Amino acid sequence: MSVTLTVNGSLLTLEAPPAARLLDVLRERLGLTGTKEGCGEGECGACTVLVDGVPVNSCLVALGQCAGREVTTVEGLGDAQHLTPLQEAMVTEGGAQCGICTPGMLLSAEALLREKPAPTDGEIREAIAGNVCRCTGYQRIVNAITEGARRREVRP
Amino acid sequence: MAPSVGKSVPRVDGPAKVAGSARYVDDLVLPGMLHGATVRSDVARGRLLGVDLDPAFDWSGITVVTADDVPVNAVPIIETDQPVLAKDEIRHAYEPVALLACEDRLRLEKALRHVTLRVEPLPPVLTIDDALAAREVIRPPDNVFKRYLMTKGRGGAAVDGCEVVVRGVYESGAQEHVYIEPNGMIAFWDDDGAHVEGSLQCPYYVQKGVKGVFGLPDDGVDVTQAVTGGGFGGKEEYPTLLALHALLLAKKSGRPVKLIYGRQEDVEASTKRHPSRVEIASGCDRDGTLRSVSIRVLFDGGAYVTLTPVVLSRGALHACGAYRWEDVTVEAIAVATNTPPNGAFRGFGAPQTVWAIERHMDRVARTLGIDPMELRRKNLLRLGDTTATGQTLKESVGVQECVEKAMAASGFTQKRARGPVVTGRVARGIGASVFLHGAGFTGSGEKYLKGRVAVDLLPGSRARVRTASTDIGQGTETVFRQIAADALGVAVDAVDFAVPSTRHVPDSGPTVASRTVMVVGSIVEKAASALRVRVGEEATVSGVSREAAWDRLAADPGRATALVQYEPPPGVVWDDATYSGDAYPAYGWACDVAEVEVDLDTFETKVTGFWAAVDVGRVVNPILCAGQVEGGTLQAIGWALTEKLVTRDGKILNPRMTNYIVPTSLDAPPFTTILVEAPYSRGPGGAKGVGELPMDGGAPAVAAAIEHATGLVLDRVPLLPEDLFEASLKGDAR
Amino acid sequence: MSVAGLALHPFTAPRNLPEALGLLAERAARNEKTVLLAGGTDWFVERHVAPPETEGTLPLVVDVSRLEGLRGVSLDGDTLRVGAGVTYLELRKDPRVVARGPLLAAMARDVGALQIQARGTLAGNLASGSPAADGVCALAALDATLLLRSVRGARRVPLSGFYTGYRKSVLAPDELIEAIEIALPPAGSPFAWRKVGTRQAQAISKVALAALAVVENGRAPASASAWPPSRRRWLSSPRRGRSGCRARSRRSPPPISSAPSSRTSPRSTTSARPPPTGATSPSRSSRGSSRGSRSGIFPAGAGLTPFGLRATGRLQWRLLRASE
Repeated sequence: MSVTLTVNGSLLTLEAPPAARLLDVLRERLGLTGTKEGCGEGECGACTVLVDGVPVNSCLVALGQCAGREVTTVEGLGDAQHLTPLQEAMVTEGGAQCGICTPGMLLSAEALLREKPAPTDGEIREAIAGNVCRCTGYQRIVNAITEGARRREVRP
Repeated sequence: MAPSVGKSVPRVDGPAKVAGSARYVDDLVLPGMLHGATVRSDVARGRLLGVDLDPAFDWSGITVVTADDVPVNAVPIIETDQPVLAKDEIRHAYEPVALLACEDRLRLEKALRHVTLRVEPLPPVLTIDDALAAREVIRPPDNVFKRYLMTKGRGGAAVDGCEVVVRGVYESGAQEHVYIEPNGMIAFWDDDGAHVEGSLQCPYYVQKGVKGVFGLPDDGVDVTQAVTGGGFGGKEEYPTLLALHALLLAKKSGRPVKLIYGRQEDVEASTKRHPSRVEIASGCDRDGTLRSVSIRVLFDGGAYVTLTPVVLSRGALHACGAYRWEDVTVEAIAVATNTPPNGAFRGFGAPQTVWAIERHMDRVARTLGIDPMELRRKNLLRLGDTTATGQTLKESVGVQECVEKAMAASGFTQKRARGPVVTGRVARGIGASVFLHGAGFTGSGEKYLKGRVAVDLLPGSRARVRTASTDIGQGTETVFRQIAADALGVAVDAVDFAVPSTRHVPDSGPTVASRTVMVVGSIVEKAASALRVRVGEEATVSGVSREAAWDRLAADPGRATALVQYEPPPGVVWDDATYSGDAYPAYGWACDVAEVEVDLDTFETKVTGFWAAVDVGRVVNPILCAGQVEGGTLQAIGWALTEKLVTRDGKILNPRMTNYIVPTSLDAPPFTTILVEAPYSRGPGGAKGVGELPMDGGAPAVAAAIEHATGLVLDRVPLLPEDLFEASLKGDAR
Repeated sequence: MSVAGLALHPFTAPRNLPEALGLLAERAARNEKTVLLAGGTDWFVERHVAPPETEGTLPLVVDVSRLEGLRGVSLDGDTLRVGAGVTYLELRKDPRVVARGPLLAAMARDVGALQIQARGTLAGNLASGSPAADGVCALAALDATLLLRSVRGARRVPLSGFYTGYRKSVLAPDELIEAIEIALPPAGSPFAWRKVGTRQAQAISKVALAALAVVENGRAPASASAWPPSRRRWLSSPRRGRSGCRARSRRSPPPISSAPSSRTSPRSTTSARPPPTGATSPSRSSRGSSRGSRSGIFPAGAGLTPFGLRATGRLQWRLLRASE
């Protein structure tokens, strides 16, 4: 069975089992290993991707449910040489430590900033409440998203 | 070149991490790779009678490994009591018994269900009290893994002669690391020997394990750290077992094998923080001058020794807190139980004993009717004082400044004096803790270890640091570059960091014990400085520019590298027999203040503010350093408020992130982090360790704040709403 | 554990509701298992922890997450209709829900975290039948009616009559939940929503409380406070296995003296401090249960104690708690 969807801007038709987890298809079929698996049950948020701009846990979504949709993974933001202002701020403000939660965290933040260009601390904390980080204590992540929002204003 | 130490140089591994291109072990694929899985016992204790493979199942293409396939069936850590795969005896409920590998993961999962273990159950020993009672002996002769006795002055017996005697018993539960990347390892064999790459903190620990089990020489084992998604001590000794398992499967199948734990398996099988009970009797004057203390520390070591003796040691050495005592006895005992082995976890025994002594200080203050911070300030260790092991503090004691700054920033004195603020059904309170953490290995550890670092000159005035210290998120790659760059007089981006692989980097010792910056960083500094001198000399001797001299040395294999070994500071004396002397070369110091709101109906606690003032000697990278403080503190808050490991019959009942609860962004308080610098002369630029320190003080500060808000006396973590409720029923209110 | 097995599941995404109903009917007639997949926040978790299924008996996965007939929120007079495919995120952002069903919006905000809200649906919450489901708790306070549909036709079932036991309901094998209908209380009716978990997000409810005051006669209530009844015995032991969020109490409480603010927690104003409700040991977690759900349920009307409610008007209170 084939499924057609857009991943990071590319329209793809995949011969793949539609009941498979989007997470596995991204990682194993498309080699997009920036999306991480931390728990497999929608608790940690490490596998967060955007489906039509909305953050979801890709471990809880079937590939078939994404037919015709637009999926954005961390690889769809900037690459290491061309970071987006948000990614850049995540580095400079200390929002990433071990980095395993970072891709999912960035996508939750990206969705937030698309909707609210200048979020409050409270809005940021709510937006990333589904992304568990065990390294930072979250303060630096909140700082990074605030700073990313500021830099986006300057250089979207 | 302006110095980079002291600046928040952005994390060098950051761009790859935020772009998703950093490769963690589960992102690696080798041609022909099989997936591995582990068959585990499901009783806590028993005799293993056999491993049966269902004859009706199609086993083609499935590799099966049992204890019979293990050359030397003992994981060499401190002792060799832990088998690689259980053979006769089951000692905990997740004991690995057999290994399977298959190319197809679905078949692998099915195969797991067609292996039957024949086990004759035996009565398990599940608690510290069970172990001490020794009705069942699982570790002859008395279920004790390790015992220490420390004394100072007249010993703890002097407590009874003091004006005011206060007694208390303090307990803490197990804690799971919950690094967001579960354990994983990939392994293969070739003509050069064994190769493993995985999520790990200590490449040379893994190498030692593989050498011992397979009987290989140093150069027959190549251990490489993949980008690692958090460790916190959980990937200190445990990955050795994974590496051995993956290598056994790879050897038998002749194929590369990837072994990745799911979250549940990781929580069930991997190590935890040692559950503890600490009994304290202290004596002081009526004015609050502390005199004598007698402390008994009890740790549950779990099924095997692992690192328990050293965890217990650190616990014992921190048991007297940051205070002056004339007479001390600390007796520390770690027992064996039939629970999964407990092991390294950030803080390494100190959080349990600091929890106890800090709660005890609050109890003493309450007994005397004086302010808890006044009591602490009166008795804080100062320069020139001697610690419980008789160590004279000669430098780098910033604790007073930490206390002043944390109290001022948080408004502690006014808030505390105002008493609990009750608004409707919400009570607000504030509490504090003061603590220390020894940086580097305990006692003679560094002397025996002889950590080494290499720095290479590369063409184009570039350099490369080679060390076995791993970056598991703390920022090693970045701060080592900073230290080397400053010593070499070049920019940070002119310095590379070699991937820690035993083939390419010398043994700098493990990435543990808050030793990376202070100990290994000092070797990096020394090696880089030596090269700078070498470059200068070459320029002078040859009459060429510095750049030309650099290139010339870089092209000469005999002169391109400085390999330097750690020299323990002179005058540091430690006696393992009497457990006295200079326990640590230096201590980090800190004061934590927590403000909480407690819902008086639901007993939910919310930490609304947290202030930490931390003396790290010298801040190498302020943002990374503050990140260590805040991250460690939130782990401590989790340990205090939500992280409860529930067990029954030796089995973990909440082995998932759904039910083992770590804090989210909405649970974390806003942090105010104050970095204090009381330099240590032997650390690079004056730096001491910071990794573990913040884990020690969070829980007692939070408990003190809850106590302030509610009047409930709290001597046990974690403090879930139901635990506070229980405490309220017991009428523990003061 | 068995996510590898997911690849084997047959999967289909019907184009419209009749096609989905036809499929359900055919499969039900042949006694074949079907999984209606909406948000997947329960099903994937169940698959993750379950052993591999036997091939040949794998259920057909029918994606209903985008089925047109199940989409959308509509307001017809005082009746709010929430399509079965509406997610918590859509619910909490819908201006009509925010204005007229703020209790639902408040509840939706407390479900899991954003990623779960973006996928999870009220209907999924109902169909899973987890006793501590946050959504079901709020719907019970609102006296919701479920619109069930099959090829045989449609029927309306009050929520109070939906569950027949632990994770059991009147939903027939060929039937699906099409929508949830709520006869809204007058705009501005006081309500309260409170969820107590072990953390502030991604939490499974230990206790959830939804309360709604309908002012029928008299002045607006000036104060309301409530406390989830606190007898542990009935928090933890459903009577004779009756479960599902069915408990509801209608009572004419004593007079009220001051006004509640919206989305504040109900607090006891009585002098005696009730015991907390917690007592959730993770041990009781049902494997595969989703966030917001676990635990037993109290029987209707059992042990309801005075809630410290005081009112000056004649009020009708509907209360429901979900807890262990």
